[in-house]
Amino acid sequence: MPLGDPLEEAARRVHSGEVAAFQAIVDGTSARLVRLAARMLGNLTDAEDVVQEAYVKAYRFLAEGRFDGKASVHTWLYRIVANTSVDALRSRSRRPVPTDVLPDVALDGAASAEAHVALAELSDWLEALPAGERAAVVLKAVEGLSSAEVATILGCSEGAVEQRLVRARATLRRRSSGDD
Amino acid sequence: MTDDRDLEQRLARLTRETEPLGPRPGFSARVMQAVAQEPPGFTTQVFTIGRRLVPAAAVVLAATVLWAVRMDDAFDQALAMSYALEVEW
Repeated sequence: MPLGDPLEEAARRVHSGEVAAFQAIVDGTSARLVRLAARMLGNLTDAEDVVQEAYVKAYRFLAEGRFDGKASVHTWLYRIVANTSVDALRSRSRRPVPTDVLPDVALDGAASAEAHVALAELSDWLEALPAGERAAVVLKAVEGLSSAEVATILGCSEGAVEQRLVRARATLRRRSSGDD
Repeated sequence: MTDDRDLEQRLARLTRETEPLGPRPGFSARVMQAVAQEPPGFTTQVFTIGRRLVPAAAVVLAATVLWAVRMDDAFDQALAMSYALEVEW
């Protein structure tokens, strides 16, 4: 674990029993993680729930010394949130949520109205995709990860990721032309 | 059919426009509350219980040593008396 990084230092303190040190990890990572989950799930409320669940998992790992430090704390948390979001998407596809509650556009001052409208548009556009394809599109095309990184997060091969992207693009093209 | 360029442009626009999204006020406090309510893991529980048992274990150890020393003395005295009786006899 490299010394000097405030997140790594906070992780070390959490491991030695200092619960309050976890605050530094939350403050240093929550913006990016909530944005990732919101893009995956399409609304801020579900995104915050998923990120909170991921933080609790991460805390448990750190407190019990099960974080091996192979990746940085930020990358490790990013993977946990991505995986938890994919799980939430899959369980949502088994138990569909009524469409009128999907786009959470309630303004709260934390983000601009434009961002909420864009999130609702993204969610509506990706709604037709199965969970695996939606996750691949968000992670690769929106979050800018490499195919290898997406494959690691989704637990499949790079070829499977590319296949999902091809299928997703075809569906999205059809949907976009339908919108026009 | 919309071409790939339109698709990429739309994704790029939505990526840019969703960039300001973040947690709502109070999120951090909510997470810390959830973390504080988290029951300690097995390893932590073992260490906590272990730490609590240290003073009791120290008292038991001291009492055992004292008892062993006394028993040893009593045994030595009994043995000495039996030798003395044997010699007298």
